[in-house]
Amino acid sequence: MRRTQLILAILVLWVLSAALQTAIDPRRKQFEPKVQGLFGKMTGLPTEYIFGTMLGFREVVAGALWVRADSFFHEGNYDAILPIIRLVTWLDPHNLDVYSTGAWHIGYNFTDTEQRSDRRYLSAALKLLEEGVENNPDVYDMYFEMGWMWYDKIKQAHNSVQWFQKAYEFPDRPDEYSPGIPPARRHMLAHAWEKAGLIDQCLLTWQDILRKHEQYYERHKKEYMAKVQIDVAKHNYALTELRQYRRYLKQPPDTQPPVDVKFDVKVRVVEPKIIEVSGTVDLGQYYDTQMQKMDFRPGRVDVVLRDEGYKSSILPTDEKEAGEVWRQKVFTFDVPDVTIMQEQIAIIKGKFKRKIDMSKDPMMYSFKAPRYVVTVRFNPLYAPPQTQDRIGWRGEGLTDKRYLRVDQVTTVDKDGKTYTVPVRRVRKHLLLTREQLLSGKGEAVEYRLE
Amino acid sequence: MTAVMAIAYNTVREALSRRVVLLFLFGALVLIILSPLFSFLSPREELTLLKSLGLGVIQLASMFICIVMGISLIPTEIERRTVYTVLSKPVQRYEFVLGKFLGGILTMLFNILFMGIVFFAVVAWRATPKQALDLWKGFMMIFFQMSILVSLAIFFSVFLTPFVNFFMSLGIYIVGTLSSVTESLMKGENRTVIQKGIGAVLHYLLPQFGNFNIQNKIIHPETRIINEGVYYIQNIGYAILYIAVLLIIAVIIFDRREV
Repeated sequence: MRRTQLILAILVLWVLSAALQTAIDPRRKQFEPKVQGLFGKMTGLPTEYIFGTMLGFREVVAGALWVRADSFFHEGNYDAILPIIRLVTWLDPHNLDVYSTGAWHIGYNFTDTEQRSDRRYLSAALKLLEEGVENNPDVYDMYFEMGWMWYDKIKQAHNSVQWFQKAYEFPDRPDEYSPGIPPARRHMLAHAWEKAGLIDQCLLTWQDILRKHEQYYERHKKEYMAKVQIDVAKHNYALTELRQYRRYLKQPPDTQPPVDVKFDVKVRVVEPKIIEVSGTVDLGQYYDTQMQKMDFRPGRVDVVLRDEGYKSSILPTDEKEAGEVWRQKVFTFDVPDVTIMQEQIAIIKGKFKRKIDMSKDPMMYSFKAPRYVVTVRFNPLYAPPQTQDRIGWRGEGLTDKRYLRVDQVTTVDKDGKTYTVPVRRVRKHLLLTREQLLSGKGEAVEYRLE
Repeated sequence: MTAVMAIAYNTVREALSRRVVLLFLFGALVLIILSPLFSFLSPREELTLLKSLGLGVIQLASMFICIVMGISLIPTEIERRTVYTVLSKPVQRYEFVLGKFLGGILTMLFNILFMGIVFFAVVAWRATPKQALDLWKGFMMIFFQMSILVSLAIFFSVFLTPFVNFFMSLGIYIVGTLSSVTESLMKGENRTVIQKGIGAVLHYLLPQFGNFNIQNKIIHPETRIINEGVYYIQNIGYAILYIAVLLIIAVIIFDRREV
């Protein structure tokens, strides 16, 4: 009888413990990484680390692996870094450093022998940061890093705005461990609005930043930088307001009449897998003789070579800048086996010219496709302020008889509100064949995209 | 109850005089004190590493102390025949098992507190008071985790040799720390009914030690946890229920043993 009661008690207690376990399971996920693809990740973990991770040394192992990754980076062994980044983010999904440094490695540091980034990895870098955001929604860092990747690396400030806005929402960081944002990092939102060509939003942001800096200064009067930030915000606000007046509001504005830049591009294959890109963006008449003597460089042109038919909205080619599905749905280091080369060439005295060598990096430039499109573009949004003083933020003061394009650039803010502005750019597409590139002879012909 | 407390008191006294327990404790203390030296492993994340290493050392040392102590609590008494002396007095067998368990967890409590105080001092020297105080949540969860492990070792010790018990307890502890894996086996897509069934059995039958691993929250204080207090209470409840199940089974088996 007593034993029967005990067995009954065991069953009841076990059922209760199972019920509790069911309630615990969803909450436990807050303390641990996601388990999607866990077994794949486990098999990638070196044996000496597996036991440590099981016995409570997850973050220690993550730290040790991260140091190992760093040594690989300094040895130039980038391929070895990739799986380690993945493992470390799995072991410690709250290690912000690994996400930000990892995305930087992937997005910036996988380069060819001439230091051009392998653009095929950009979507992986963005996906890693997206994962970082999902795992760390309560700190500003990942939102900011995502914004920076769009703003600085991809140079599409209109896509960076919403991320900088999310980072901006955090309170000022009062100490090293709070989830607040360092006050100076707020400035990036204003810069992003400006480079997206939305100057009113930029000025409103500078005003708000100034208010926030003044409030912060009231609470932290002993901090030297608290006062400096106020001065910086005031200076940037005044400068942007002055530029807006000169470029758009005064009559006539400095950006009118538009300057004909006489844009043209030639692309020649000079040796196997080596091309020479040359052309003109003649802003010369804007500068007087003295300025021209100063070797002032009014900006750069973007050059992209890619397989014909390969479209990606994160390349500065603009066929379909909005709505293109390019993103990885699941993070992977597998990149498409296509040839993509992106370069910037400085404009000197109205001309640009550079040899681009793709012969030393067959892993990056496989040249498997039969035809390649070369796109050369001058983008006023990212031009230096002195050039924008003449052509405007959005190219209002720029024209060209043959290659002017008016792109509708749409910025979507964090609340889903859209701002569309016309941006006047000059752009030319040219076509090269595989035979030309491999034989080392031939000249690109103009190409019309569908 | 007096008998239970007397057995528990003697168990603590004996356990704390065992060299192997003291060796683990001393080793852990040395590692905790030296843990700041390992900060080179994670530049810019020294505190992260310090906390991770310290909590990991406490957990690992506690686990070995638990298993080494737990597997011998009852077999030693049988081997030395002192169990006959105890059971010849008006002491019930369940009181004997319960006394041994209480002695075991009190020994654990002493060890975790001792290591915890030293580690708390090391972290307090490097971090803010709030960050150092957060460590006590971790110590508490390690204690409940180890309480289950002590009860598991006692449960096995009533019908297995210490040698087999050591590997059984260690093996179940390791599998039990992979709560997310057993859950994904049970719920994951592209799994057969058999796989899901095995996953469910493992998930609900084995003690889920992984529930108690809250180190990541302590290491990254900026992480926001929803209903953190509820999570701890649920886990403490789970530990108590699971320990009760193991001890009742241990008592039933021990009752039938010819000792």
